[in-house]
Amino acid sequence: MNQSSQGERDDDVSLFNRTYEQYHRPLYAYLLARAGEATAADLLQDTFLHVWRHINSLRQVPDDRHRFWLFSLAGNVLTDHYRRNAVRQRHEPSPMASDEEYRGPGATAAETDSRLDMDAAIARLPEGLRVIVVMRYLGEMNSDEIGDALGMPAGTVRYRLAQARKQLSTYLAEVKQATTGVAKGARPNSTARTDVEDTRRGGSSVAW
Amino acid sequence: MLGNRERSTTSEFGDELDRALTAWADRHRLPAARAEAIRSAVLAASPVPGALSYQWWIELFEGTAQALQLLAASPSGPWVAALSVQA
Repeated sequence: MNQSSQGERDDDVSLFNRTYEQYHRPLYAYLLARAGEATAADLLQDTFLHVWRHINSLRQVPDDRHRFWLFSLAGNVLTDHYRRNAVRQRHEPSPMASDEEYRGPGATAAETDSRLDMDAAIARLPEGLRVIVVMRYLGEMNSDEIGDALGMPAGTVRYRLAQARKQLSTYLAEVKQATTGVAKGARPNSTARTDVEDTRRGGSSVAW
Repeated sequence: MLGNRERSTTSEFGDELDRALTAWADRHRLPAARAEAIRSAVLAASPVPGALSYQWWIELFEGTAQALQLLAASPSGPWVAALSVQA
């Protein structure tokens, strides 16, 4: 291999590494929100494999369009994934199979319940809201960045984020109320209660 | 952290939810070791689908160079004789 092609290879690797460092967390958040934690890492690898194989295309994309280009690519990887598996709405919930597995070292039962509640609450959100919440908190992106990535105005992102937070608050309040009611011997007879319990056992038709 | 505009939505529903979401995110991050493994695996892959990897070509060139050096350094008799037998 001559010096010229070795230099091109070094440039490619350098561009890839910069891109990976800047975007792998936001892309992972996006993929986790849409496909679930079990497959998000594999899909992230597929996405960056496409990036690597199209590194010359990325070089020609203006810097301020990199984010949109990458998230569009990730969207295509997801579409391929759905097509292969035909499980878009039938994903396993995120790995929270049992309290024992989920409870971290030193965590109390109440803390574990709280973690399960938040997992279930996020899993219950409609995909359009869940993606934004997860990109915001797991991807550590602001509204402008999420808007750039998804091709929507930042104002729309903020509106959806507010909607998502409202739904999360409502759901968590329902769980808290149901739990308190059981502790006091109240009969758990509301449909909300049944819904909450089903979701915490991973039994609802959540989309991840 | 949250920008000013995001902060307004936070205050509407309370900092408690914000903290719970941040804690949730902390539990679901991609581990650094897994992230590095993915980066390395991608770079080791071929830049062109279906083509042989960069590392494969490097090893081929090195192997070929070594074989040529061995051939050039060895006495001509045995391999010339081998070629003659095959012919």
